[in-house]
Amino acid sequence: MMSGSLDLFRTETRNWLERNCPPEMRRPPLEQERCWGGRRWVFSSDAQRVWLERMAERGWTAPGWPSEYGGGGLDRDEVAVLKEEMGLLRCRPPLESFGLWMLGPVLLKFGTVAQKRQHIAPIVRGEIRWCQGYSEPEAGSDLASLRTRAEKAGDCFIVSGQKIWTSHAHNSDWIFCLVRSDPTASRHGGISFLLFDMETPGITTRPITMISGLSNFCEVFFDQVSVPRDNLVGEAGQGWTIAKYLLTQERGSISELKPLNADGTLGRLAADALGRTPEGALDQATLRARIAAYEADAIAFEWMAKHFADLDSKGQLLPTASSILKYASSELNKLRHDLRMSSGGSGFLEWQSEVSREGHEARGWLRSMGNSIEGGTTEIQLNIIAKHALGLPGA
Amino acid sequence: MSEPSPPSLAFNEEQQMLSDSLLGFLGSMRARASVRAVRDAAEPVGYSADAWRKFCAAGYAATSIAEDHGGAGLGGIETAIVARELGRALIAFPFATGSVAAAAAIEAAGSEAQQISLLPAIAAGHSVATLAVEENSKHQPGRIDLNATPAHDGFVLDGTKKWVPWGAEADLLVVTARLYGGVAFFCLDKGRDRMAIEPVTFADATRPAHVRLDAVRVPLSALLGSVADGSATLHRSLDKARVAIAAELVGLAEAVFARTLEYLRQRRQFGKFIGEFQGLQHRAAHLHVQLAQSWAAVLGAARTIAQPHADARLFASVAKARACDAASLAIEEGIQMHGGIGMTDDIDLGLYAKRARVLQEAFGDKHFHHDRIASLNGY
Repeated sequence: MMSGSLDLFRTETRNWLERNCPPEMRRPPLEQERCWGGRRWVFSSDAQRVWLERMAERGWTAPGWPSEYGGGGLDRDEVAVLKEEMGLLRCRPPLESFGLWMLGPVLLKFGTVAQKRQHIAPIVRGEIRWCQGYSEPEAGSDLASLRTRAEKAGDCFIVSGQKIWTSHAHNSDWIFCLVRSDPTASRHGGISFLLFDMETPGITTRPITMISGLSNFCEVFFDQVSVPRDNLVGEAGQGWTIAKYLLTQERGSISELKPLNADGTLGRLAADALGRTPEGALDQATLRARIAAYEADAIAFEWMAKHFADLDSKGQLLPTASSILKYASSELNKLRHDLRMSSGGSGFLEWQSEVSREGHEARGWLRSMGNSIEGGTTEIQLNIIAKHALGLPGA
Repeated sequence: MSEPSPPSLAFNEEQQMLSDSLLGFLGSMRARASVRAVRDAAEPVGYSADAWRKFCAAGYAATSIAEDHGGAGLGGIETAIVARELGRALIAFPFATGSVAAAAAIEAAGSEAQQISLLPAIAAGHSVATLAVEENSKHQPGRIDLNATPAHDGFVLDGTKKWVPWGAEADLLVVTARLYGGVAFFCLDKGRDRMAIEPVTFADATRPAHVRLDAVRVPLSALLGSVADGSATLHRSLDKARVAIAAELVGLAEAVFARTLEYLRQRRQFGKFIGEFQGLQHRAAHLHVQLAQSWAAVLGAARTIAQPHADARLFASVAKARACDAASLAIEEGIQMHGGIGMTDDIDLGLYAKRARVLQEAFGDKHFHHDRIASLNGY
């Protein structure tokens, strides 16, 4: 787009956001304030509802998706401008959605026109909430060993098996699921990508209590669940290819999510508890040094993310970049939480109190330990880097 | 109108050409200019003067100096590119700790007339310049005992600067001194100003020197600028040097890593290439990430150091701290993964280690910069 018309778009976007983003929506949401949408969604406020409706009407929950299916129809530069302007006004995302982050891109790339027509618009409007049926008790890092069966029966698949670590399954309307449709084919070649309604008879969901006390992850059991053939995405046996494509999309969004606070936040928190020397330094040299080392790493990470973004604009970014970002950001985030706990001390150990905001810090620290496991473990990311970035033999 | 976005951290065409041409240029002079060649040379000179002349003739010494002052007027990223390739080639030249650092001080502290008089010769490489700040074993730029007392038509300087980089060979020395209780910069000329030079040889075969100024008279013109409160100037010039040194460390680390990967792919034990063992693969992958992160930190610092950016000092310290860590890790892993031969003088790893150690100490090691990061971030 010509820079003149991009500037006009920026001005129009800024004006529209000013008029249409409710003031309450102009700060980052707390965990419980995030808007996930779905058939059973209860808006926490009018402002939350209005913000979603207004953005969804423009397709700006999915600004880069084709407008013929309900997306915003914006080009790459315009999407960047929208993100920048939202950032300037501190507008929170109107919708959090696995449909937006994962399934939508898959449908746009692999789906039929009918599937796009059926599913894209409800994702954009936040009317349908999706969950991801991938991992199984016996298929974690080795996802390709998955066993959930999908047997052909006339114009349906009959699905039986079990998924685990399915985020928000108990609150979701539909599931995109990796199933074994051909047990005689190779490990990878017998996997298909199926969509189905979580209301279909035969599905049971059980939340799992995590060490953080939260229960967003679920086990999902399938007992002879009947799924229409039209819900197959891509070809039968193409599921692994589609899953790999989706995983790179997921890796990207995980890296985007966490602010690293490398601006003295930890140091000031520690100084509140430990005090300062007459020169103003945190009065514990060892913790001070540890926090500073973390900040050096965090700031360097942010430069690396910017460098990668600039390389990407020039089409020079290697695919292993997403593994590098995921590995580095998850390890940094764990360290950040560990240092926060050290800096906060005993007050942060209270599990259920006003002082600790219901154990917010301790729960956050515990939850962060999953960052290096979910979305492809650290060990898997290192394998990928060794094989694809370094070309090491037999990796 | 929207604000212009900052220049991309991805190389433009000219920067890519600069990087590629340097790789070839320095590669062709390794035989006589590398740390090994200098160490084993008949004369203890600290660097290959002949190779340095060719480097200057090609214009590289002028990279960071403004066009008005005879330089190439290129930016922070170009300076980082030159330094990185020197590190990669294991060639120690009076660049990062020499022309960049001294020129930065002259540009920051000197009058326009002084810049015009001093910088072109440095840019052309006719003068080897250096920045002399250290008086102790560890970098403490604020601890200055070298005293400047006003005298008739000039100043009397008394004190010692230690381990002055390139001190044995430099003809221009920019020194920090106490004047009126503040920090002042003096540009001393070996041809004009009496000084006792005691060269020492570092582990990387470079030759810094202890420089003793024994009640030495210098003319008024030797004082850079006119004001003796150069603390901000001091850090601005040091930060430019720190970023260039960080770039040199990253290039060095990248070279060590490349050799290590090559070894992992060739060396066979237990019926396999050792690069097939997952333990080594994971450590190599981790190191790859550390190097990418460190180079990005250098790029970010290089870009902001030229502007009056609020976080320029912070990013310079981040770049130096990260580069020190990356180099340490690359060298330790490099030697370890090479096994016994990593410990021999037959291969270059030990020379990279020695050069890296010298660069790590220059203008603040990682502990110094972690401390500075904490101070700058308010704790």
